[in-house]
Amino acid sequence: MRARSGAPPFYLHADDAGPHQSPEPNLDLAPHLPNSPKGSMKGTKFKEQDPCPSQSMQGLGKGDKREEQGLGPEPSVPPQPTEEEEALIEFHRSYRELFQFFCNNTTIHGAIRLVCSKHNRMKTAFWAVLWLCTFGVMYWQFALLFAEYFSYPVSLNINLNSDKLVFPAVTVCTLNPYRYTEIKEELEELDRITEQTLFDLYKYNSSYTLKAGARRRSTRNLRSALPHPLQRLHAPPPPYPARAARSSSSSVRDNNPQVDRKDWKIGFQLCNQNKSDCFYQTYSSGVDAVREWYRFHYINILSRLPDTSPSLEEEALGNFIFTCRFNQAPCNQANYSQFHHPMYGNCYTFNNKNNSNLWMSSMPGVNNGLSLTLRTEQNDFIPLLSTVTGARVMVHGQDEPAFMDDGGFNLRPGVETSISMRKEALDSLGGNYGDCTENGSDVPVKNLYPSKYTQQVCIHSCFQENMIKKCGCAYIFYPKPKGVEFCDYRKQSSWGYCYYKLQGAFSLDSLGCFSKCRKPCSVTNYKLSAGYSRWPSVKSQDWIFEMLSLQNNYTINNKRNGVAKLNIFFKELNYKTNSESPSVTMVTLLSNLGSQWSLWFGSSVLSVVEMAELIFDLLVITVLMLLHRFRSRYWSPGRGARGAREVASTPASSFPSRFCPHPTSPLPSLPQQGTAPSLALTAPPPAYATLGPCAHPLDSAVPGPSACALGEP
Amino acid sequence: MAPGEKIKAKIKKNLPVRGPQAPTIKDLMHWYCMNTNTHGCRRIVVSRGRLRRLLWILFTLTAVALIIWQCALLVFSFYTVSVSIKVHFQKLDFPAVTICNINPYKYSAVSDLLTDLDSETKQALLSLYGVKDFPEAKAQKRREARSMRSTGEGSQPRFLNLIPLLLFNENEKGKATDFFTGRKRKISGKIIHKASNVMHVHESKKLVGFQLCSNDNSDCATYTFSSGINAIQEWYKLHYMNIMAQVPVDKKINMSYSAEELLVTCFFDGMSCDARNFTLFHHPMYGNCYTFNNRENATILSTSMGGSEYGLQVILYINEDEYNPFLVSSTGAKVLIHQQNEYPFIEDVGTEIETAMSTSIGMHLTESFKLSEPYSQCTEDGSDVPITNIYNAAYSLQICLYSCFQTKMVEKCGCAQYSQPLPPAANYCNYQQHPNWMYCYYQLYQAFVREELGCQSVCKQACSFKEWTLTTSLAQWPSEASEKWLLNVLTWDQGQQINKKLNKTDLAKLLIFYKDLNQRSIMESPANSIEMLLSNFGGQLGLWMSCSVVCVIEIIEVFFIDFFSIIARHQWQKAKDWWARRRAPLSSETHSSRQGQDNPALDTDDDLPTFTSAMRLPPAPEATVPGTPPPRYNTLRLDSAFSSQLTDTQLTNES
Repeated sequence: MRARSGAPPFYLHADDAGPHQSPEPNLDLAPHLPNSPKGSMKGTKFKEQDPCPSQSMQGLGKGDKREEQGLGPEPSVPPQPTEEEEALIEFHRSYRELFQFFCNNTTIHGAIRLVCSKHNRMKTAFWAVLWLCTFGVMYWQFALLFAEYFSYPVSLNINLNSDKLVFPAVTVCTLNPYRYTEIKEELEELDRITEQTLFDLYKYNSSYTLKAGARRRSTRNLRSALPHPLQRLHAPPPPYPARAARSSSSSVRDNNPQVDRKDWKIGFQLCNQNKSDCFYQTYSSGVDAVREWYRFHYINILSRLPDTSPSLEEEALGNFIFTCRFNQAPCNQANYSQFHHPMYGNCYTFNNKNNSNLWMSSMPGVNNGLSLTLRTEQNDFIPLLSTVTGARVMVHGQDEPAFMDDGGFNLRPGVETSISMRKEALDSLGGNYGDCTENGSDVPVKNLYPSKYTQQVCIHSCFQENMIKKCGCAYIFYPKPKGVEFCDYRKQSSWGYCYYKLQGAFSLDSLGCFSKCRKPCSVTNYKLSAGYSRWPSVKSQDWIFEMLSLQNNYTINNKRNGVAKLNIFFKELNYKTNSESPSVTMVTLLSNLGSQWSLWFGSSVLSVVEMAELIFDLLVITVLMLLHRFRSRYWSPGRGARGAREVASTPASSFPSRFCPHPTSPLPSLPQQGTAPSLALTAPPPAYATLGPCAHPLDSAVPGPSACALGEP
Repeated sequence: MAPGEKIKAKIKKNLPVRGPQAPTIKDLMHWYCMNTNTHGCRRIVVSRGRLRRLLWILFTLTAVALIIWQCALLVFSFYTVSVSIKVHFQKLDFPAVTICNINPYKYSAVSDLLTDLDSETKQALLSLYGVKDFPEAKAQKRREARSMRSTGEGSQPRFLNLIPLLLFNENEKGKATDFFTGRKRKISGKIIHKASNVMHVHESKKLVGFQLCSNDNSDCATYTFSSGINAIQEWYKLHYMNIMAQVPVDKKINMSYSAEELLVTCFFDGMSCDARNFTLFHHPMYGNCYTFNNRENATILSTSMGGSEYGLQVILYINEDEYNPFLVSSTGAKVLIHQQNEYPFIEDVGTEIETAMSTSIGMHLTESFKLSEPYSQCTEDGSDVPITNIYNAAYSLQICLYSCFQTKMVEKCGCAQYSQPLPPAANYCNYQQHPNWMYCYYQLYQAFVREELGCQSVCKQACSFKEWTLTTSLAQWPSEASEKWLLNVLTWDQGQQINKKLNKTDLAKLLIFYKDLNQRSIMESPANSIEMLLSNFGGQLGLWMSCSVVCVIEIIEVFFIDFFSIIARHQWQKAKDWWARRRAPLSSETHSSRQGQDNPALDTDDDLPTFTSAMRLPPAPEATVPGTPPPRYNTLRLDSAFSSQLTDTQLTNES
């Protein structure tokens, strides 16, 4: 078949393994054939032919062979001699052979011309330039494609859905936290001082002050009982201890820039624990100042009140909500839950998550929504706290808390307010594509609310966390964790100072709340728009008022200002979902890479595997050659004896035990065709150097017809 | 050895039979792998070493699997859309604006029709709640009382008899008091709106409701209301619809407000306009509505500028004295902004306008175009929705839902619901013809809300639509300072229609304008085209295996056609062998030997499939013997090959 001419040094060695083998005349294939037919004979034949390896290697070889037969396309029934004698893994004996093999069989288009066109230098150079060009262009394109992919671009999808919609939760608040009569004792002192302050600052005589005019002198000293008195400040306030400031504490270093910068007129002073640092919380308008000041004290009073004192529960639902209908059907106990907000009073949340069965809207329009008639009389409001009359309504998701501060809608008394909603959902991609969080579990802020994560929840929790850390007490408008109490200047004298400082830092985002709290990936919001009409109409008001009064056992004195009507409904059932999707997916990236690759190179991933195989082969051959050289230097004499020694040493060492030549071809006289390896070096995987049985080469690389034609003469 | 095997070995070695005419499947595979352009296959064959070969088989199969997987992903994501949002700045068409008074008909005009109903309602209020004081009705009281006596002396009240208002006592279940007759009635059947006790924590546990029964009184449903207001209004509306259903449309239009009456002043885009710019649209529940900028055969008006100066400014006359006290409880007008060919669903989505207020509505236009099937479930014009559009307007989801409901209503109850248009060959429900339609309607409506009628699943949304996002703001109007002269001038203006001095609570000002002339268009376009898909396929095929469509064809050819032709040949050979054995059992053993079937020499004689495939892929040129007639091609070559070496086999073959 093939002559073994031009073999590398170890070829000689391989050759001298020959004598160990079964008789040399087996060049002809025929003598082997008798052994082959029965499948069960494989093993024995293997052994017979295999002079060198140990038993264990045989077993391995056998097993692998069977496995291959199962997988491979070759049928197992007529065992061909060539297949039969193939080893587990075979190596080329020389670089040249390897390259020849590679050049013949590679699928990399340019490379064939470059490496394998050895005859024409100019051609080689030309191909080298061409190859480099295409290689460069391809990698440039690859870089562009990867850059696009790793910038994680998203594309916007707008879906319009028209399903039955879950009606959102609706929270309605009375805008009056407590009945004035019930909280009067607690507020008495504060109110008196406020009246006094108003009189002092603005010469305003309220009825209360007049009534208590006799007591005014006695209350004057009471004023000092409350910390942080309201003061009129000079504009601009003096850089050094103001007169007003001196009166309260002589050691004030009034160097706060806030005081210097602004020329507010009315404010109150806040100091830290040891009065070393003070600043004025100032307002340009006296109304704001008084309200804020009142609110500040009110918070302190509230924190002293027991958590749930039933006497302070202002009104039952029936007293606030006259009628309630959803989808033309009356509401019932299971449809709402109640909570108390320190500023907005009693709030009733309809259709929140503990509603027994959530309300659904299958039709748009006023008739298919929530309709409430509310009592908005304010005869018992806290005069200085509630400056707004009416009611406050908010639409929010079922498992979101109602932040009445953040997204409310005030209802006017005597007016029917129709709020039409339009749902919008926003789904953004998380992970690499955008900065959002799925459920808030990866946000370093503890959720203090018993609800799902929203950005607002997170920011409030973050503020409260900072408040507790810095001021040692919890702000009353946000929920508190266990074991912390709400702020009260009787206990934490300087919390006001701390709070306003913190508030400033919070607004400037030096607390990091806004960066810590990421937006949730899916957000649902309701766009509201309102229409108003006078209610009840002049013609119908008589019987309506009459009936309301009769029904609720209570006279509506203020007629029109005492009631308000609210309709909340879906304007349309189409809701828009803005969602993001990756605009370059892995599939398109791969397709684009493949297109570029095919365009410039015409090779494939399998070609890369070919290259890897080539490199691997090169390395192994190099190692084998080095080993051989090394060995031949040390064991130069006694060639024949060496083989036997090697057999003994085989199992333990990683030495190449020997290189077995392939059985010679039946036509030794043929010139070498250089297309396929005639001899393969075999080595089983456990130790590549220990060579397995010598297999007969399959002259598969040679195109059949040519062999036949050549063989003919 | 046996001569047969020897022959086989020789043939194998010498025959150039590779390719389609390969003698065995194994050879076919070998040929394919050697000659295909698909990467990996060649390596399976040329690699030395079983492990190497195995690895290459694995690599190749993995690549094939990856290609199939990736291409499947590409196909599945084919129908995706990409959205583009464009903002145009252009002169915008002004939308149609429909304005209605909340009160449908002038009370003075309809009072003739509603006298009985009103007096009975008052009576009910009196006996139920003790409401007797009707200041505005005091003048009428005597007259009413007279008419009451005249009609009611001997005869029973009509409406309360038809559907009696009932007083339910929580304590006695299943019992109700007919408040008019005072008799206790046994209530059978289910109580639909099981009212809560929430509203009545402080008061007697009395509920008001009414009972609706089916035709044969066998099945009744009782509707109770937590609030008497709702009960009365609902009860009143029920009868009102019955009465109005019998009134012809012309008469109804006359009873309602005229355009001149409703619209006191009109100003559009800096130009004066009047009632002639409005078209009448009669709505069953809102009476006469007037639509601006929806005149037939007229060009659609457009605004040249944004801002309140260039929009529509109207002052509406809302005569509160003419309000129906029981039907409507709020005062004002309703306005709806819609497309010219769209039906105004004023009762659902209209925005209320308050009297003595100036309402500014700023608009922002957004247009959306969606792709229909197979990208999404939307319909271009509703022609593929199996619901006939009973409205004289372009398709919309809401029109479809209402049409569906109305059609079902006509089907089930035999008459049409009053607040929606009439389908062909149907009448509005009234008690004269359909005594128990109300029960039917309520049941049907419940079923509709629960999506049992299938309307929601049949109706699809429209693919393209315009929407105007509205921002409403309010201001007191007219101001204290301007009130005096303004009301005087307006009174003088309206002298023909109204002969009374206008009050500020009779008027409402409305401004509708574009906030800016930016129009946002949201367009969907297919994200993938066929070319894109093919080039992506090409990319995947190239990436993993550097293969192409030709490779795929090759695979089909080799693996299906040739594969089966070889199998068929073998079967043919077997059959022939079997036949030969039967014929001559003493024939040479080579024939009967099992390996014989692999021998190409045996089947070359009459195996036509081999030949045909040989024609497709001609063998290597050196193998052909020139001048040999094709049918004998293989045989000839074999002959020459064997004649030189093994004459005996040739002889057996020939025999």
